[in-house]
Amino acid sequence: MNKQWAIIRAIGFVTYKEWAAFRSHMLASLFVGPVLFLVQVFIWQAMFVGKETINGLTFEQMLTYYGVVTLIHYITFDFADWNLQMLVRSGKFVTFALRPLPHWVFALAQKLGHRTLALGFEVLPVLLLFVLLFQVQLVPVAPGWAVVSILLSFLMSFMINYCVGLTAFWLVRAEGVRRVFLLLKDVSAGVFLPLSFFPEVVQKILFFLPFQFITYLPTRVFIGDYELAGIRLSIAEAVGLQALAVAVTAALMLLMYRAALKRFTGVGV
Amino acid sequence: MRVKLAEMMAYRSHFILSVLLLIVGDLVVPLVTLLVYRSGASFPGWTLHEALLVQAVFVLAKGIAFPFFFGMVGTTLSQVREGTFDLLLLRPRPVMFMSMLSGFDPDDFGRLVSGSVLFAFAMQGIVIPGGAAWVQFSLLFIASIAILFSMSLFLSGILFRWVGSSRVFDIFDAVSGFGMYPGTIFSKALQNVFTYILPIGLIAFVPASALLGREGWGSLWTLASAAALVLLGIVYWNRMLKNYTSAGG
Amino acid sequence: MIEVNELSKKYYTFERGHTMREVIKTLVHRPMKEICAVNRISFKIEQGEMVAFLGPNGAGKSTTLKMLTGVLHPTSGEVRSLGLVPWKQRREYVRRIGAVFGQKSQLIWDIPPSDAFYMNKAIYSISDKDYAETLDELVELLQVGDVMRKPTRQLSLGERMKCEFIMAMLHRPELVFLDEPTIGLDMIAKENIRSFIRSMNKRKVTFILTTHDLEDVELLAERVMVINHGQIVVDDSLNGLRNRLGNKKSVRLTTEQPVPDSLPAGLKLLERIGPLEVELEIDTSALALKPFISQFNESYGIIDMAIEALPIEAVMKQLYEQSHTPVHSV
Repeated sequence: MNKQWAIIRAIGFVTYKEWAAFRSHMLASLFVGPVLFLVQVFIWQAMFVGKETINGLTFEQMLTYYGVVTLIHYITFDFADWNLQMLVRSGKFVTFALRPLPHWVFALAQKLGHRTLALGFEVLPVLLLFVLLFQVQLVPVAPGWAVVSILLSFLMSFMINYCVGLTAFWLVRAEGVRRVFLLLKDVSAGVFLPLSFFPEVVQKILFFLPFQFITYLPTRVFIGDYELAGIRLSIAEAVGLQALAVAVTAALMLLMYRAALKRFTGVGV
Repeated sequence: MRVKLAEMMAYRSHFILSVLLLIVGDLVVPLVTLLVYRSGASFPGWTLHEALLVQAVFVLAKGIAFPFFFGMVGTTLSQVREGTFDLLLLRPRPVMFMSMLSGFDPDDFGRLVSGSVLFAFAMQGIVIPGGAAWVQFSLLFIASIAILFSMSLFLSGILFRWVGSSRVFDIFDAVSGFGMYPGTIFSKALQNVFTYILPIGLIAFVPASALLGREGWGSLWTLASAAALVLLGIVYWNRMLKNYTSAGG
Repeated sequence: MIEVNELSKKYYTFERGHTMREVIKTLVHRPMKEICAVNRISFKIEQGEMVAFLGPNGAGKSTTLKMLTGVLHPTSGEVRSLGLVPWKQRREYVRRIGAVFGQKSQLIWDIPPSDAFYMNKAIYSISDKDYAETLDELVELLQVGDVMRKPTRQLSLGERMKCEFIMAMLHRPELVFLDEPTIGLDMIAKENIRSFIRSMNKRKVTFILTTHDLEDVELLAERVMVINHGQIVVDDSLNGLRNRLGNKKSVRLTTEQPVPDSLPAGLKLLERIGPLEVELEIDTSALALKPFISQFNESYGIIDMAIEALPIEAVMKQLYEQSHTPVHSV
């Protein structure tokens, strides 16, 4: 256990150093995040003219929703899928098969290092801008649960992206399919619009897909009430459901990883 | 260009997929607009079809400007990073033209499909305008494409210095967010900025308004400002290129 | 140390068309093609040996190497290496081996190699003391003291390759696999890498390498396995390989009169360099040098001449072109 932690720390540290050279790329988020948010502010300002709530959300809650979505995005962002498919396509995956460490551990440690760097250069500055400039209400109703939920979201987004990357072992040249999938993932996660805006039938489907656990659920936990497809859950229940979903996805990812490795060692992709 | 087309034919399945991706991507914002209107909210003074018309014009403008111009952002991004941009400098043709050519991306024509579908859908809920509105629209549409061209030049130019940052695409997406909605939702000050200083409103909002009969002939002055912006873009791009070459890559 | 028995690897690939019609056709029925990359090979390698796998492209060298490293399952046959079955006990096995792939870097592009070393230290759970000792030793041998603190992208190919070796040797593997370790390097870098391999080999590290560079073989390997069409065509020492040529030598001649195409027994025309310059192969067991020289001098008038042993390239060319029948040394 101690050894595993030392490994994760070392890889995370090296990744941190690797990306520190690209700080300016991360700092672009200081512009991109607030600009995207500003667009939402105007959209909803217009939409809320003469209305108290839309779909059960007040204007302030709506802004909090998009504010939290943006923060969760910067906290949990990774490109595990892109990295992995690149390793498979270039044949460099073999250098990982030759090291006594499952690649997914390596990738997760990389994400930890990368996001630690982002904490200082993306998350905190954007958070400050939101609170000070836009005066968004960004204090979670139940801080403890919100933190747990965002950590679970961190894992969920990693595992889904990693699974998308794993498909490269079977579909070497399917970058297009993967990108379509990731876009649909964002839509189904509630990045563009709270899922409660979708038609009833779609909501029911979305409830059973893993994507809501990346963005929609943690955001609702942050705001303090959860509702999807007519199902209302208390904060504790929602986080419990999320934890369950993370466990199931983890099992799926490990199975898929094993299958991918079997294919790699069988065919040599 | 012919090579690119041949390449495209060889990877037809790849081509179909990336067109599909672009269509899905272009339809996300209209989908969100549709869902919001369905929930009973609306942009004050704009019906669903009118709001979608703005977004349709935006996608159509991209469908024409992106295949020809926007690819150069991607090529400068990768070629300057890998140091292969110098190869373009060796060709006996204008560098800007060559980098546009090497960035030519037929996949982007796929946006014309999503744009047309969206446009047709929006027009169904709109009183068909007269000939004058169409003439205004066509002229303003040219200005729209010119502005996208100049934006490509600015983004591509930045990449000579800000080596390898794919964040320029995020920046473009963020800024263009202002152009996909009826301009009237923004504060008066921002509306002025998007018309006179950073003319994002001219990409879709102004041409769409013309088609809806909401703009007079006076709006055609934007053709001049679009031309000025293109000129500025060309000067900027060439200056960045000069800096890049004199720094020795 | 390594025992390989009847090892085989077959691939099945789908034949895929390029035109739309072929693509649609293959959706219904995909014709399968069997490719036998490695065909029932057997050999033994002892600790401390230095063995080179040689062969033309696509002969099965890399497939064999991948099976020996455990990243590829064989279709049939057995391998026991370091007392383990590589692909079954992969995690345990890779901890004890090292590998350098000339074209697949383990280093990280934007940061110094020393940081990448530090990462492998954790992955292989090397203790601080062992790490410091090994690193010092390797850095000394390869002379990369300052180099390893510069970002990898700023290093020359030779410097990078040296660091790849450190990366692969930090955990003190007993057995090291090298896939084209000197590819693309200049002469000095090649020499550095080779002398490093030799000195590690003196410390009882076993090396198995694949290469196209025959100089690698001449300067490194005591034992050569030539693989062609998935089979071991030759398994012999380098000298043994040379002796296969018998007493052949190559002769380069400049004459006053042109040398004709038809030549007496024991002579073969290799190349016509100019109207009055040729390269011949002479089998000295059929035609001794003395009569050859005097004959030729009389008939064509020798102006200049150079006699050399046939280079190893000639041996290889012969072997590569040979039929599939394996030849084993006795």
